[in-house]
Amino acid sequence: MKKINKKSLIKKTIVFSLLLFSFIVFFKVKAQTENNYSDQSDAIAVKVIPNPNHYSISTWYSNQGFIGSPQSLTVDGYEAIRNGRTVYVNAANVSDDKIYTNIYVISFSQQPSEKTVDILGQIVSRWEFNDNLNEDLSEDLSDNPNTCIISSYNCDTDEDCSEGQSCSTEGETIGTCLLEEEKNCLIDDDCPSGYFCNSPKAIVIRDTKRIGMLEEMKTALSNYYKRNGNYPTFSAGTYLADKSISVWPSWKEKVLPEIAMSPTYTDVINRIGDCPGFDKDTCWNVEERKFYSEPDYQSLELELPENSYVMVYTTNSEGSEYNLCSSLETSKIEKRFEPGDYSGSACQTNFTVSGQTGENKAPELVDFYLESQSDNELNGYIRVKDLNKDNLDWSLDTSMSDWSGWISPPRLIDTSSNYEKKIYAEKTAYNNGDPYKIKVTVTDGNGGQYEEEFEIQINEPGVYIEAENSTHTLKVGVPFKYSLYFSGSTLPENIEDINYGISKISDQNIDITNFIQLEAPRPEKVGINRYKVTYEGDINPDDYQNDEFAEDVRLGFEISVDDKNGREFKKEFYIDIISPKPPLDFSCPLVTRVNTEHTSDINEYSCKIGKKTYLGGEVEYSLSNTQAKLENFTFNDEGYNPNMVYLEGYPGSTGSVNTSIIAKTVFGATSTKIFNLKINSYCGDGYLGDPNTERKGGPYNDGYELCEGVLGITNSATSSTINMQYACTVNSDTEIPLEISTNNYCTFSGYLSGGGYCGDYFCQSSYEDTSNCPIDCSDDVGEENNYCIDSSDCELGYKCNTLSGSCVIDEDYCGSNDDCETGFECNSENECEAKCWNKTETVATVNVFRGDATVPGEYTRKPSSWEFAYDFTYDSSQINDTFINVNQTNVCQWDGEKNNCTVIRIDNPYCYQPDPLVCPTGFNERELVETAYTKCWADGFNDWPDQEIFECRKNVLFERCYNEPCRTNTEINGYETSKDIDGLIDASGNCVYMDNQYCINDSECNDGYECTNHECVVKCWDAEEQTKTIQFTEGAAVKPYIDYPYFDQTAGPDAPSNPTVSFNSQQISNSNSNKECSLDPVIDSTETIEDCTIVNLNHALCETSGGNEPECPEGYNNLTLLDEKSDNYYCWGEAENPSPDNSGIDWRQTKIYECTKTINEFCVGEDCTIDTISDGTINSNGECVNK
Amino acid sequence: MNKKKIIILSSLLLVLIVVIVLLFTLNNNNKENEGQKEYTPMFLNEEQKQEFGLNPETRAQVFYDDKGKAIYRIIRKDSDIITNPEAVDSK
Repeated sequence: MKKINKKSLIKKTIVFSLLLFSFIVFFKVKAQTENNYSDQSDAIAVKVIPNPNHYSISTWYSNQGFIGSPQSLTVDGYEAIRNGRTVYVNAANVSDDKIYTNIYVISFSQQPSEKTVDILGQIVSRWEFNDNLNEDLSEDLSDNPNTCIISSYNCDTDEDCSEGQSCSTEGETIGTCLLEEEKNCLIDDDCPSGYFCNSPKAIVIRDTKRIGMLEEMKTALSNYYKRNGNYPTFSAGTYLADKSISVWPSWKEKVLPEIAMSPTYTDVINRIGDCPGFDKDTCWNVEERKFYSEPDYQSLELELPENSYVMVYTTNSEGSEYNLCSSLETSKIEKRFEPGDYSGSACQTNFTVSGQTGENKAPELVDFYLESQSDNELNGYIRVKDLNKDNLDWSLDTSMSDWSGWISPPRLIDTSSNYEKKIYAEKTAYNNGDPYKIKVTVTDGNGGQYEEEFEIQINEPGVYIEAENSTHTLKVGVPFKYSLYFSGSTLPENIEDINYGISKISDQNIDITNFIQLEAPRPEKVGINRYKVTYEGDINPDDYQNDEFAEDVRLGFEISVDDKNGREFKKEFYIDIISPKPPLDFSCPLVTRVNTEHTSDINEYSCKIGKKTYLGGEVEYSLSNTQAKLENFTFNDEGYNPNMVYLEGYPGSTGSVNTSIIAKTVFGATSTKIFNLKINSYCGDGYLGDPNTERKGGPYNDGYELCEGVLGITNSATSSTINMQYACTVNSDTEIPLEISTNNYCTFSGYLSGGGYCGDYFCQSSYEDTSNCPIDCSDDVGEENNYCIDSSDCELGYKCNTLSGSCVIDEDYCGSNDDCETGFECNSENECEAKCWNKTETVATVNVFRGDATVPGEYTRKPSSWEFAYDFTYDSSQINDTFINVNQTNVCQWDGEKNNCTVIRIDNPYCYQPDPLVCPTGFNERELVETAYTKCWADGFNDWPDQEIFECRKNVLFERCYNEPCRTNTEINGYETSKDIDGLIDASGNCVYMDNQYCINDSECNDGYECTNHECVVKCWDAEEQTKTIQFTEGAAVKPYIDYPYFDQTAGPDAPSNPTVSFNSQQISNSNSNKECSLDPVIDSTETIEDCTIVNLNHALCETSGGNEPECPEGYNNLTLLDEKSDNYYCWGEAENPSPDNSGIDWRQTKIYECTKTINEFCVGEDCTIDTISDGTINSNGECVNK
Repeated sequence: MNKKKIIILSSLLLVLIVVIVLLFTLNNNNKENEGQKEYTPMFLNEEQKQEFGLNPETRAQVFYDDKGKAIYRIIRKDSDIITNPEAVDSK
């Protein structure tokens, strides 16, 4: 029993497994097959192009010469550009410790279905780079150690941060707002606005952007240098002369505009590190007018606080060199960009790497100030830095000086920063000019120590005035405040007796009394013999309506203080009133569509311009010159974002608008940005584009519109043609997409979808019936085989005239050579093609004397005495066929330079040579042309026989066809010499001279031509003077390549313009004939005409010449109006604006003109008439013969 | 015992063959369905021919536009019959 169960179990297992396997295979293959079918139309391609210069994507893109208006986007955090069906991404590829940048070109098929577009969008939105950087990380963000810990918001307290954030007070994030609820991330896009991820991948992405920006700015600086001979310098308008940081106002107001860069060129994070005692956003101390660190004017370096993320530009006062740096972060993850060394582009900032232990650095001096006046307080300071951010211990040694006269020696006073101490003493004493000495020691607790002696300078007694230069930045609601101090033991003891005053020494016409009252206030005692005066007040923009602060203003003052002895002490000081310019960094579309009647909301122009308020007041926006095209444009402050202002409107007419947008603060400071807008006509604007300026729409999507709405279509079968059909794809209610990407707009609807015309072989019963369109609707029209849609419907020898829908004789068809013109023959495809012949032509000739050297390596012999001769050779550099290949020869002389010679002429050569004479390489025919020209040495002594001279020719076999250029090889002076293309193959296969070619005599010219002034011209003979006349009707075509308008009554009354017809130089040849042709462009559009002197146009437009008299054909003059109104011809009176019903009222009888020309000679080929011949031509003998 | 094994294996082989045949049949049906859509030309009936003034013996293929209006095409020879209206309409 047990055995049976086991076997059964095994069998069942096997069977089940096989069945399961079969079904898995079945469904797997089936699913795969379905996938293959569904995806076979998609074609996504990815190409990787190295970007060794680390250009930003925009720079790389423009360097390729690409044009258009690409769309900016990001792909997995990296900057990218999308243009149509291609996305270009500038992304880094990280390998070991190196970072390479590549351009990833992601494109898809040319004829995408909607599905393909979606696939590209999805691929781009889900594309991921640098998987190797996050390979240890989980896909679940919450499991990753990286967080949005880097903030762009500085703070002093929690109140400076938004809700859900708090101000960090320690570590590398000190002084920045942090998210109270930690957020994990891989890239910056995972973080809230203003926060950045500390993951390696995010760092690489940020540095890729930074290096791209650095490269672009370096290029811009280089261009500036080329134009101006120096790099930009800034003596004013920035906190430190010739220096700027991307968080300072001067970065956007001075540096970037100067080098024509967009205001967006700031650091990705753009936040300066913690700098206690300084403005937290700029690290600038307004009162002391000092930056966090002392600038190094030699090295052009500006040291930044730790954990700064900014860009810095510094230059010297001459602008001869510069330093541009960015806060690169990749050194933190021990990686560097390749190729190139960007270590020099990293700003002097020491990044503290979390968890990393490095070498301890001792504290270093940053700045100090140790000066005062006798009997006054000492208020000095010493500032150091410690790269390890250690807690510092300070000590002061005052034992090196005698402090007699002081209340007490100076001592250290704490400040808000552990890196700065105040050196304070209540009262100082003058030391006859000698300084006092102190020693300061700072230790970091880790073995690092800074120790240095300083000197304290105490000035002689008197009144010491502390009135520093200052800066006030205008902002509504922020009061002006400025304090100055004066001190001294000689000041009056009673504060009421102190006599001081300030006066304005600058000459601006600005009322300052609102904030600096020159007469007040009284001083305030703030120490022993030390007094403080404070000026404060509001600078209200309502009080300054005359643009007093349109620019920054420097106000100069002088303070004078009298001591108790009446001695006056003075000091000048300056207050800079900074009037910030409003930010104007919009990026508006520069192309839009005309929207005259405001019919399309989708085409309404709307662009975010800038902030609604700035500096506490409303920003006023305006256009520099309002043009008619923008008359409907307004600045709207009630748009999508209530804090922003939008430029909105609907463009009134097509064309370009060149204007500027001006933003003005309440204080009058303005920013201006040029705004050039191109307003396009487009498919859907209510006009028939020919083409429209958007260059989209129409059957080829190139802007040439076949129809639009009711324009270009007809509802009459008799008026319909292939170019005037019944329905258009665009009507008044058609939604035109902003990007027309198909050929389905402004073209005719399909034959079965409302379109079509009489002649398309579909009877559209809405318009056609057997009476008005029998060709489509009737079953008894024409021969069975004479209708067609294309030439495949026609018999051999016929082609389809698509206008008439009938088969007509194919003039290019041939059944035999007899069907072809002279010089042509019928080929196997029944097409006439030019006859061809094999022709041998001489492309080069050279004369060779027997005894000359012609071949390298072959011996040449020359006698050396009466009895002896010697042999010598030339190498291939001296004698070769170089010149033969370029259709030239180079005959070198015995005593001349021998280089690339065809022949080397030997002086007195030995006669003995191989016989027959060997021509130079490549010369394959020779002919003896002379035997008595000169002598050569023979075997017999004293025997100088005549030297033979041969002409060597290089003959080449060519296939030459009728009417092709060729070499005539005409025999001149006894032998053929033609080496140049100088003829044409005639119908018999002979190479004959071209017309008007150079000649010496008549024999060199073709039949019917003669040689006159070395030029072959048509033969002419004198004749009795006679006058030729030619008549033509008003509006006739008289010259080739001119558009002659005519009226097409099928176009309807709303047709935008009349069509035109023009002719080429073969149709209107103005030859010697006197041929008048006539054509009705409406009815006879396919009729072939040629060699006409004039073409009379039926349906011509009256007064084609705009009321002027018409022109005569070429060669004719003496225009005469023969008949004011002809009964035979009519022209269309456009000026009368007639109805289109062709009733006869609208067709004016046309004028008949006559032109004449006088001839007194007759030439070959001209028309002629004699008694026996009515339609003759002049032959080459001057005889009039039948044509 | 051997006989039983042979029967089992033969059965399995048969199942496999059936699965494979089924698979190919389904795939071929998919291809046919993907490759072309069924279209049956329609022709004017006698009444319509009379309405449009055509001879009773005339062959005319008929289509209808969006408004239901007839569009017909005189068929003089078999090759005139439109078998792919979408291609003609987009011409």
